[in-house]
Amino acid sequence: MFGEYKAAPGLYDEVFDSKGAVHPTYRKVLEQFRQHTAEDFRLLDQKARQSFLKQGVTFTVGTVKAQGAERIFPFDLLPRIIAADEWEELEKGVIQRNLAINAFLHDIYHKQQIFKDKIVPKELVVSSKHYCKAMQDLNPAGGIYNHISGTDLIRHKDGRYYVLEDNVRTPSGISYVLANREAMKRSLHGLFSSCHARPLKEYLDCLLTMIHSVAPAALAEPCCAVLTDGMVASAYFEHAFLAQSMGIPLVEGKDLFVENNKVYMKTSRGRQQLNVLYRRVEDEYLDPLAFLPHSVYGVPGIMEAYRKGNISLVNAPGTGAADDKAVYSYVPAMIRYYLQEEPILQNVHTYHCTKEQDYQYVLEHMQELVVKPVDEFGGYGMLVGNAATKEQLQDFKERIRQNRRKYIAQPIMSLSTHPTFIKERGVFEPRHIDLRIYTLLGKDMQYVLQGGLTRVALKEGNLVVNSSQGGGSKDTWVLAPHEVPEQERTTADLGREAAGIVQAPLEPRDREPLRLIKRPRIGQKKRKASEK
Amino acid sequence: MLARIGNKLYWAGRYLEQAEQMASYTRVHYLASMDAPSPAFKTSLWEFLLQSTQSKQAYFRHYRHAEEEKVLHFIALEEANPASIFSTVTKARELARGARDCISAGLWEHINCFYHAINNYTAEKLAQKSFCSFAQKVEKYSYTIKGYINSIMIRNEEWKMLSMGYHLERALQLNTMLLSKMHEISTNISSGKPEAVEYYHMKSMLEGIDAYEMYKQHYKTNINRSHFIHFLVFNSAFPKSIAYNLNQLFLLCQDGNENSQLQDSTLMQQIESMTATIGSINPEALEGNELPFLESNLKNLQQLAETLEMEQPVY
Repeated sequence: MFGEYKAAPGLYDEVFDSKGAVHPTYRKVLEQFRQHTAEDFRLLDQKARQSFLKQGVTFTVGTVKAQGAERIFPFDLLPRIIAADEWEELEKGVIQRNLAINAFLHDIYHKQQIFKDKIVPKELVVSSKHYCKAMQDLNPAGGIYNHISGTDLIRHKDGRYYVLEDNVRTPSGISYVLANREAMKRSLHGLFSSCHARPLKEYLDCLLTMIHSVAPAALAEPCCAVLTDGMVASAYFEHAFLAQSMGIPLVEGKDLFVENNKVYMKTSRGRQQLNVLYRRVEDEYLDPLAFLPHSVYGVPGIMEAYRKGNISLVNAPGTGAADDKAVYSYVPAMIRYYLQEEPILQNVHTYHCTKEQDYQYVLEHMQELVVKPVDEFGGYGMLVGNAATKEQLQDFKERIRQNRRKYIAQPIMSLSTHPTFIKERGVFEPRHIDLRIYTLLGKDMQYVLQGGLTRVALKEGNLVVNSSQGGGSKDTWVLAPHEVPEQERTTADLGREAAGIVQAPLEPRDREPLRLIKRPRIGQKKRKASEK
Repeated sequence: MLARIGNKLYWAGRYLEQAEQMASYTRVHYLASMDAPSPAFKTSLWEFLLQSTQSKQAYFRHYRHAEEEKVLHFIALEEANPASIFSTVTKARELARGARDCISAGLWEHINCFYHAINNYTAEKLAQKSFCSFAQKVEKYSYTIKGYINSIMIRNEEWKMLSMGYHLERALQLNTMLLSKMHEISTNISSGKPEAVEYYHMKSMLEGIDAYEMYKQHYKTNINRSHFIHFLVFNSAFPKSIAYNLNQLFLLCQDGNENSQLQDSTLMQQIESMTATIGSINPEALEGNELPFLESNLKNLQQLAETLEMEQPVY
């Protein structure tokens, strides 16, 4: 099935190098995969699909009884593997980035020092549709705004990772990460005994720990819930899954009410005060009294309860001001400004259409660029210049001309490719992938999920990986630090093993303590930004 | 537990039970029709089944005559029939989906798989594989789901609401089916072989709810009318009898003693009154007068269902 596989020239392939040799991290897995025939793969694929169907990881199209009404998000069985040392850098990089974003959010809703020091233009931030005036001078519990974030990265042809987007509003997809792992376990369980992929399930414990850590008062058992916009929501599976996994209720706006600036749940035994709400509802729908008056998903009065410190909201409203795609380009500057560190992860160069010089460049070089609206997600509303028609290019030029603040442009990055099973042809072919990494920030804690969501553009040559645009996903394995590919063991290692002398037993990752990495809190940074 | 979730679980329990009862009851009557005492039985069977499964009105809105294939499809898979097994399983699954965070992943997966198994059944497959194979699938899923509910779930409010749903539904279903049966017996009593007719109906009823062997074990005799009624209505040791399910409802309400609302509630009073009535009746004295008793009991059970829904806290 890999016989005809050819890594696309000029692109980074995650599994094969330019000479067709397998990267060391993939050797064991590929050895196992090569033992299967195309028919085996079809059956395994079916098994994986069944796993998703049984778990209810589906979306609905058309009427209930209609053929194929319930669809499964496409899933590819060959996992994406990341070596431990590579991961370490990514992990440090996303924590650094999110700490800087958190400091930025605190600053823009308080003294706005970063504007005064002319590091980030004020106009750019306060003109963001996600900038929330109601957050001004509000101090969220634990000093955290972006409790949960999903950082999107790609690997360019130079082999380096670049951050493409920061998602710090209500990033989704974590349930697919966990469902992908479950599907892999059910269909290719043998793989796990030969490779030690770091377990993922500790994420759910850490998520609850983080939620507890930001309760408004030091409560032994804060009452927490997940707020959903209901069963019609496309991410309902995820909302229910998260609530169930943490053992906290999944509530809708109609299950809550506010009295004397306190938020209560309507339970079968009377009302119960709620302390932390992990809301999966966008800011504008959260409170009809504070935001969109016609919202039926929110809770009237919850913002006032939040302002009074009677409830914590995860993530805080107004975080979207930091994941605006125009603000994104200033994250390296934020890192230097707030943390006095050099950015570990690279940004993709971004052209701001509000800047005259950039605007002219974008108009003249649109065919070489990706144009994105600053405040949308899911791959909607964007244009990939080299795949666009003349009409589409013209249309985008007009759109930008009408609203320059709404658009940024970036060079077309060469997303790395990964062998992906193409069912119709029974072979593996290269397809573009990206990576979303999930970070949790709580009071005195940081945690990064030891894996991520690898999205794959299933259409040949397509660069858009979003599921809403026909993308699929892969299980993402981060290898344990001790994982050494068979071929790379020394003769001494093999000799010791043959003689039955085993060094330290290989500790499975699930016996290790939770990765709650403590770092200095924002207020304890080496040098205060205002002292600059 | 959220008040909204309690209601979802209660109804999920009811629909799951309804699907199981309908499948089992229809399957047995379908099989029994093959050795019915007279050909007239077969022709009346389809209408009788539609009546017993509360599908009659909807059926005759779509078809003129009750024919085997159409009736079985209508009871099993018809989307336009709100009482079809497909409709009830779909509703149960949607309710469970809305309360996913309160039930175990295993229980959800089983309910979800149950739905997919039924959803994958087409009219052709039903005709090809026979109704029996379909019904057995339904019954098997239902037993597994109940196994999950009773073996895995912590005895909390969520479990209580699910259990209340299926105990109440079981009592309601049994009462409805028994009422149809007694009507059928009284209608056919003027036929040439009244004993054979009566025996045939009682046996198919017992088999239809998987009670025939238990009946034989308990009474160690052939079926007779007073034992038949005693077993299905008054025998508090048989898990499908009305008395047993009322007792369970009573215990479940009592079990919620942390919630004083239920303790002194109208619901408790209604259950107590119904169990007292049932306890005071001599089944032998009831012989020949089962219809008015069953009709009044059905009304009481329906009232109980209404009260149960109304006694949720109001905000």
